[in-house]
Amino acid sequence: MYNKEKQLFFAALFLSGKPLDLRFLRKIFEPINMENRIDEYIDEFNALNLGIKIRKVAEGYQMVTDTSVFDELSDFFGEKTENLSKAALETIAIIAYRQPVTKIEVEEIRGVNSSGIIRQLLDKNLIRVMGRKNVVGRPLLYCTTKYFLEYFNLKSLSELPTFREWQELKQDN
Amino acid sequence: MNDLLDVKTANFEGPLDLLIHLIYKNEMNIYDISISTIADQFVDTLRKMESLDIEIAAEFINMASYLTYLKSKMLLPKTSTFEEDMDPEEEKFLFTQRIIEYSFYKDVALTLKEKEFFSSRYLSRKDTLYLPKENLFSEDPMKLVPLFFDLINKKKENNVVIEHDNVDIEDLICQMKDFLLKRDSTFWSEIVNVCNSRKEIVSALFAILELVRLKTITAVQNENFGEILVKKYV
Repeated sequence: MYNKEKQLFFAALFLSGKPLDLRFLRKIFEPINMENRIDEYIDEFNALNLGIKIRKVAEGYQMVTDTSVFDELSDFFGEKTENLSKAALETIAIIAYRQPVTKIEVEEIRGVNSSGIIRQLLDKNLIRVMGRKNVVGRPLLYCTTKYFLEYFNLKSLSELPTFREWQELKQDN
Repeated sequence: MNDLLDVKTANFEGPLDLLIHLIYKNEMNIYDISISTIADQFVDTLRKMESLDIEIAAEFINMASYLTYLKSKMLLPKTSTFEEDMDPEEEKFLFTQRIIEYSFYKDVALTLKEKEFFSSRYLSRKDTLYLPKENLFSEDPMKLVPLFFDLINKKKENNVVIEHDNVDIEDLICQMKDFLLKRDSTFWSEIVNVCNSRKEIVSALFAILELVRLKTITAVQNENFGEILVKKYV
């Protein structure tokens, strides 16, 4: 059946270089019950098994290739990026949970100097400066970006385990 | 047990990382750390490290001295009641909290590493495709017709004769003024018709521009390439 909204949704995802968020979609679609309709379109699209799928990521929607075609295509289309180091992962984990957070606060938790790592994360657009803390020296405050969610395929920050969940898991062991 | 602890600093992000390694090696409960054991092993490990980056070494040594201090405080009977003295129990609690928090982030880092691996197997477009927007259809093709016929009907210029007479702008301005003042307004194409040669057209243009500058007349054009209306300045 002819459904202009569905066509627009797929076409917009095809064109977009970053996940489309609900704010954008509300501009072009009827906002009432929109998320449910979108869920239906996604199910319909993903059921076709085209080698392309629509995933929910970074509080939005994104068209990506299916993991099943990765091995064959990665040589041609895969970007060669180095994985994050242990230190970088640790630092971004701290920033993700404690944001907005200053460099000093990160260093207090890690017990080591983290300037280089923070610069690296900024360069990779995984974190950004969101202001300055109102204390002596007015240090920069860092927070994670939408790209951070996209990079780790997270729908939102709440998808990360909470400290309480982790603690219960630890104590059970 | 010390043989177990054959470690290289390169593998550790910092003193806290080493501490957690030691805690796991000793199969200690992270909520109930034996400061004494950990302090001894920490100092031992540090001794075995031969070459250390001075900055990193400082962080490790700082931690070693803190642990040693804490250990000694815990061994001594509690006699002092000075407020400035640290309370070993309180200090141990804070220390444990710090270790727990750090170990939480370490575990999250592992989760993220896994997610990073799986996420990297999805390929996606990085740049948006922008559709070119050109106003291809806004022009009316019928506009071409009069332009074409104008071109065809344009009088061919006579053979070029090189003349010596120079057209004097000031003269021409006077002429133009007369010409313009006789009527309230006129079209540029009419002015062109009056002129005898291309040179005069150019001069007439200069004359008109000059008159516009002097605010004697004003020129109006409604659209691109449309007729220019020249009229008296009001």
